[in-house]
Amino acid sequence: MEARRTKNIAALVWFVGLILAWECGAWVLQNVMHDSMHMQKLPYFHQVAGTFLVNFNSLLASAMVTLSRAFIGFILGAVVGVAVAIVMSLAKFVGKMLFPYLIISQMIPVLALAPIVYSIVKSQDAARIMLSAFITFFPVAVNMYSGLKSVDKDKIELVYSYTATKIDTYCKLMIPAALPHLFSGLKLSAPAAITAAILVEMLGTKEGIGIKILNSLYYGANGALIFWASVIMAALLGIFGYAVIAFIEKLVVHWEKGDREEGVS
Amino acid sequence: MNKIAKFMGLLVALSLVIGLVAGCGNSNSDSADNGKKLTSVRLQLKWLPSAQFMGFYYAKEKGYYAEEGIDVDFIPGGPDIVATNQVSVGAAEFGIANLYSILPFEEQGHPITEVGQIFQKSSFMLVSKKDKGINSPKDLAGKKVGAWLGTAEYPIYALLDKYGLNKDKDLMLVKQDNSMDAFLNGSIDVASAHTYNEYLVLLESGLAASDLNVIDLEQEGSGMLEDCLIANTEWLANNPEVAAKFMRATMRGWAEACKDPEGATEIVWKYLDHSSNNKAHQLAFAKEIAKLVMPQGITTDKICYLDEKSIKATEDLALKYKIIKKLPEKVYDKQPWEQAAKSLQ
Amino acid sequence: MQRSGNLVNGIIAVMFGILFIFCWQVGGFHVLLQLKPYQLPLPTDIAGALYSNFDVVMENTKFTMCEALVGIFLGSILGFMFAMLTAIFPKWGSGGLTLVTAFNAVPMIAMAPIMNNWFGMGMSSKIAVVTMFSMAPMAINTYRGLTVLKPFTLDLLNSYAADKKTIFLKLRLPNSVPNVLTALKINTTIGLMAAICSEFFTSYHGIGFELSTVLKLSQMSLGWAYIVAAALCGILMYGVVSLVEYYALKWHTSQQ
Repeated sequence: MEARRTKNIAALVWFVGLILAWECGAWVLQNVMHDSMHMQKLPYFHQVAGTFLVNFNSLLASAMVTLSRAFIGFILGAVVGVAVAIVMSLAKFVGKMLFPYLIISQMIPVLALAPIVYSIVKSQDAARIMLSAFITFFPVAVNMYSGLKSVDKDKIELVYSYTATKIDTYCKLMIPAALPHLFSGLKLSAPAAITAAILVEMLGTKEGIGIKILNSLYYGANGALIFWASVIMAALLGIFGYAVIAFIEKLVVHWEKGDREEGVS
Repeated sequence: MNKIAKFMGLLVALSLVIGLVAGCGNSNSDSADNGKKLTSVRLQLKWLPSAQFMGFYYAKEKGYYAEEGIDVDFIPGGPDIVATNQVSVGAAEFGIANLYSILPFEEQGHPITEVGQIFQKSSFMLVSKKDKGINSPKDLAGKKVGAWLGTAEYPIYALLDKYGLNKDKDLMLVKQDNSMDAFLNGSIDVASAHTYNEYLVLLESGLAASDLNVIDLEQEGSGMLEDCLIANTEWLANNPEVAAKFMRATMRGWAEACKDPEGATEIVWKYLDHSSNNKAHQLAFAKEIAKLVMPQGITTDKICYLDEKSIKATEDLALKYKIIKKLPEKVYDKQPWEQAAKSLQ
Repeated sequence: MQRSGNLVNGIIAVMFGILFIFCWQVGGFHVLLQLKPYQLPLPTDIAGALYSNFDVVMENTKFTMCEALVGIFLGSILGFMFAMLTAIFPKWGSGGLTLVTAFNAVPMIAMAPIMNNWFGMGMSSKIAVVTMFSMAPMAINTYRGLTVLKPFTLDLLNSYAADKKTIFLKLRLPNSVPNVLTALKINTTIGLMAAICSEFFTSYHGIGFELSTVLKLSQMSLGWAYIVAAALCGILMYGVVSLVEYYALKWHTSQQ
């Protein structure tokens, strides 16, 4: 209980400190350096917060649209990522074989991929979901794969000697043992899924956080505050995604707690 | 095993919740179709929804498309999408793109054809702050010049050529993004601008027209034709009637929108995200667009006119600057426009 | 044994690649997915474009690699430091870790213009973007490595009455080595991607600068030549980190 309270206080201190640093930075930029671009570089936090609150409904509506897109992409990407990792660890040579190509796949920008994806699936929505899943699956696959690889050899042999089937080995040992790694991957992928959804909005859409950002850049000075408010909204979405995964992790992976120690705190 | 089941259960529950949220968000996108069977047509816009496309929005809101039995779906564009590609693969029947940038696609055999020239003249200009002393295109030498590379650099090449400047040696071309920030913070000396948005953005940023030097590429004779209406060739061959009807409604929409920029802005406003847009800016935007679509005394039946001479001029520049190696067999198809224009006279 | 196994795997991977490119060349993918050569160019066309533009491609690749490497280096160090501080002061650090994650959630299309405004249109703004995006993978992974310890190791050290400093240096830090290397691997890919993406905005050289330009003009072969260059860089960086990992982990197991 006590530890929890100090943790909350610490979080509060960080939050307040960040805002103070932001305000000071904006003040210095405006009044000491007399930067003509201060609105674009770093506007006052209170101004951004004001804009955020005034436009909250609109921002939230856009955020929901982006979030739902991100979620579908995330689920698909995570499922594909886990599947790829399991296949790669099941057959070692597949793993070694596929890995370089996974990296290559990440180097193809959406701009080059879009005409190909669109000519395969003509539907706007399907193409978008495919693209955001494509961006999301990589960190999940990498972490899950390294998790599966890191399971102790003697443990595998032990379980194998008891049950003898590969499926059992995976269900009872490998996957649970890889879960912590999987969650590290998911924690990185959750914010990545949000940015992927926003990137896919660059293909053009009616609503979304990305559209707000794009509009405010395109229409210049009027947009600086709503730009920053949208950026904050996007970051909040990312933190939300991270927090949801962290919460699920706590529910699912509590056996790892045993290894974690209280020594330091 | 139990842990995994729990994990999966949580995932399912979460997906249901978010699915519900998403479902609510999308429920209003289905348009009501009152008994009459409308032909669905998709129009891929060149960029984000704005007054740049006001004629199309106007025609839709005033029911011109519905009168022709057409239901148009506007697909917004963005920086990562090339409208020409979308029309080529059949993700949209119609699209809007710069004339000179569709030429390489046509050359390679993409099934696209121009069916109407929306902007009758170029809106392209190069702006610089007075203190940079760029009074004539010759003064561009040694400067950092922002260009929208990949979409709008060729008019600049044509201009430089006219004044005997080498684009690789005599100045530095910089890729300009969708904002004017690089110009405002002094990273670049000269910026590309359209009369209808970027120039207005500069004025709204506190610069006066007298603070700026402007090189108007249309006046310099290096302007190339911009927004044109393109169609998927295969679709066009099968649906010539629908295309003609679409053209007619589009021309009426543009004619009315250009005569009434205020009304058009109100209509466009319905399609925009309000918190990141500004109505006054859209109105100024609309007024500039009107000048490009209906320059002095053009009548409704001359809107989107495919002027062979000015198209030829753009083609020649495209050949000269190696956008294309040889002229595509068929750049444009006058059929739908002629059919539409005849009934509008 | 291990060596020859790696060699066999390497050969298999290359064979797979050759088969893949062969299918691509003879039009297998184009038939299967109903693509046209102007949507996905053939490998020979890409190779041709790469050959005839080799100098330009190399020149631009050099810039992008520089941005990615410096950015990854800075970002990884910052991320590592954040993780270390969080492990030493867990109560105060977790807020910082959240903050780093929040940076990671700022979309590229916003981060790149902000950094361009701050650092100009040259390489420094791209390096800043890469730094921002390679911080979180390192911080999260390292933090895991520093805190999730093998069972009983901590009890053992505690029973020796080891002080915090010793525990940190002798147990936590070595324990985090595999995680740091995993993070580095992720960062090579993320960093290169971030460098390329940030060049899509105001810029005057680099893979992303050229790539976005030629793709919009439908010069697909040249565009894919740049993608090939980027992919090779990605594989190269990944390979180097893997090699380091191979030797480091050998040392790592021998230390325990």
